[in-house]
Amino acid sequence: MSNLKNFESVGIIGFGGYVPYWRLAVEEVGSHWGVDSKLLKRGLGVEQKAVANQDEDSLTMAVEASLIALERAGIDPQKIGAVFVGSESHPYAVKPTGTILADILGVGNDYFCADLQFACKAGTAGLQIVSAMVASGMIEYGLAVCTDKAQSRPADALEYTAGAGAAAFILSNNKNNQIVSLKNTFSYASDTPDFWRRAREKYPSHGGRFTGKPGYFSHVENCLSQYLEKNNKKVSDFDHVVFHMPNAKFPLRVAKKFGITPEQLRPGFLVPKIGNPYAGSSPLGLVATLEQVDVGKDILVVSYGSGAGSDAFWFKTEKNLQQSLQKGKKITEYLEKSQVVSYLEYLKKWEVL
Amino acid sequence: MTSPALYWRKKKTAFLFLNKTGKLISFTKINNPPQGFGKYPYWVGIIEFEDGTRTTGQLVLEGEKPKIGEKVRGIVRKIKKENDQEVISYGVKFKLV
Amino acid sequence: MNIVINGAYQTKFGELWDKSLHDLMTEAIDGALQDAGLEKKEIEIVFLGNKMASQVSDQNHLSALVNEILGYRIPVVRVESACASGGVALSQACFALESGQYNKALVIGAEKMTDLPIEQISYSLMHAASEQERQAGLSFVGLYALMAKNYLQTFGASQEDLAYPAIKNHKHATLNPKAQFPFEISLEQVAQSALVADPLRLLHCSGITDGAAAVVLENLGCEARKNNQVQVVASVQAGETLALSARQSLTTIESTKDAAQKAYQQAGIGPEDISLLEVHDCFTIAEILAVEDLGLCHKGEGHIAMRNQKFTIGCPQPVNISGGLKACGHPVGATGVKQIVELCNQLKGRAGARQLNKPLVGLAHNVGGTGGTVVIHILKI
Repeated sequence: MSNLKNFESVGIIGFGGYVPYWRLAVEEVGSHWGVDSKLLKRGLGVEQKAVANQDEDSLTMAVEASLIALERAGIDPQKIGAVFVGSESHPYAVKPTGTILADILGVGNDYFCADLQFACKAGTAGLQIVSAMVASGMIEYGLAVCTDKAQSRPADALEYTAGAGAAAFILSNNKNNQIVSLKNTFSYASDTPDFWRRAREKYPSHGGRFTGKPGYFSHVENCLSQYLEKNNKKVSDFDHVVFHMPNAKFPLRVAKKFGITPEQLRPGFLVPKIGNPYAGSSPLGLVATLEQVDVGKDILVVSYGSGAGSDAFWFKTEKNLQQSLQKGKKITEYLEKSQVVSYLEYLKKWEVL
Repeated sequence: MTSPALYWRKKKTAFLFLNKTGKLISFTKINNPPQGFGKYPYWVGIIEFEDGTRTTGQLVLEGEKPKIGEKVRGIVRKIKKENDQEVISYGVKFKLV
Repeated sequence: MNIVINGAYQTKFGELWDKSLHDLMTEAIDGALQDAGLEKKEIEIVFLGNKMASQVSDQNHLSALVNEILGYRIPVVRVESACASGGVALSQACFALESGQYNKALVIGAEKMTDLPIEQISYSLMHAASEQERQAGLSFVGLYALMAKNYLQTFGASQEDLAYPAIKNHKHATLNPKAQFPFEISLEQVAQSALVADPLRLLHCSGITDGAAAVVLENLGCEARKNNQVQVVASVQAGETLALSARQSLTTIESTKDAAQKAYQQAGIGPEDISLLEVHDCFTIAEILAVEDLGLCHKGEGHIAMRNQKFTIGCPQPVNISGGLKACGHPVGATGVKQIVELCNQLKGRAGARQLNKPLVGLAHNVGGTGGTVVIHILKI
């Protein structure tokens, strides 16, 4: 059991996102496997997924997102006291992505660090850990990164949506330079084997339709309803909502059930254009939202990680936000410039060939 | 094979040009990669920075063709094609801006 | 300096599958000694140029191998300066003779390259480049491609201009029974050959070759030189930075200019006095840069001179009559010595079908890497 702890002054002082340049169309995958891709596209609600190049991985994308976060935060990287990277595609099974990232960013040697895995909620779990460290006063600033270059088995249903991307957040306990404040956070978890990858396996496996109700829906809905209750809030109290987006259908179904409007979802609803960047999914949705909305907006984020669990957050945009957005590449820029590749080219970029 | 000690020592200078902008002095496309650099062609160039320093590095092209004099910026990418047991070599490549 | 070359020999250059490095070295040593009319035991010191025996044949300590071949215990020095290993071995031999401690020296350059697959050889050749260039995956041809691209841009030359040195050298090679590629190539063939590293195509590049060459040197001291003895009148080595990016210019090899200036001074001549040249054409762009940096034409005009066939056999100053590195072949450590063998044969009037009409002065230009080492020798009859 956990207590819903309201943070006095925990918030984000810098954030950034990275979406790789290349795209693979759902229709292209479908046509390769001889499947009716138009039907598929409609069913998933996804047009294409973001594809990272063969020389990119979770670390390189983490660097891109973190550099933007640092630029917007305007702090000396040596002041960062914790680096937590959440991914299900860490470059090493043993050797942390966090230390490679910290070294490249120039964080120094005096920092807390570990890598996290919890499927698509590995990154938001990191956000919670860093928030707690910042709130306790253990550190002045902390970096939480959510990054994935997701693997998917050829011909598997997930091949249409498993994509790549990264988001980074620098948190502090100092109200003065915060651009987004964090009110509190909550988690809901259970041992539900809806989607998993054994240690030596190259590709994940999943339970097909079992990933729906017992997986995504149970955890997201329970997390959401309990979170609202503990906060004594209704969905309409929030200006915007970001869910984990494995496809378009799942989050839209939850939204419909809870009376969340398309306008609430709109700024962060990236899945039709970039697919599912796994640990980067709801975090990138959050980044996109923060880059588009005004000051004083309440944003609800509910992530989901198979295996399974959901993390919920209540953010509020503060007055310094617009100024920080003068720096750093925005998600809209990544969406504007992209190039579609063939299925063969995609296999090359995913190092299958 | 990149020894761990070599990788660790190289790191001190491997990221000097990260996020720095320079211009392309010359470039070529290596169609026949030597051992350890995979099977696919890649682009390499010499880049000059404002203070006159020059460096050599691989190029990252996203939809454009390089031209001499064009601006490039240093980004982090994997720089080799290692085998499954090796330490991964990260370094700076240069993207056209 | 009163050093003469008494013996000169070159093995066939090519893909010599049935010859090991040991075989090639033996053949060259025996050939040069026979040409000099000397017994093995008359040699007092040996200088050996070789680049990659440790990678290809797992063999270092080549000096001891030479002793085995000679069947005789004398000092042997192995020299490595990438593709200038042979030339540097010769210049070191000249120093040894000049010191007065030795009278007769043997210089041998040998290389066995075809035993390894091309990707491994390509990686091994990158050892001549800087660490940063290696990390960037810049293959050796890539380095010269960067220079070529810059040259074409700076001087308004075309990719077609890069073909002419190769066409010329192949034409010369048809007259050389020792050449690896003794056949002509056309402009169309060059233009259609595979792009290796833009703008360099396959036929702009020298190949992978096995071979060896050796010369026998004698310090005459105060003795007068006989009429038919080839004399070394200049032996100069110059250096440059390892990395291309550390240099001011990509279109001039300063070390060639430095070495040339000193060599002309040593020999008491100017570039116009040279009857024939063997220059380092590992890639055609290298030959274009060489004729400019050696002072045979102005900077930026080398490609025009090549297009106008100014250095083809029949002209006053033919370049690479042997076929050069491109058509005769480029067994890396052997090239510098083979250039000397060619000059000797020409000066002595025994170059067969490609014999020039009474040449008097020859220049050999040998380059390591992209110019990190340059060594120039001038010979006179």
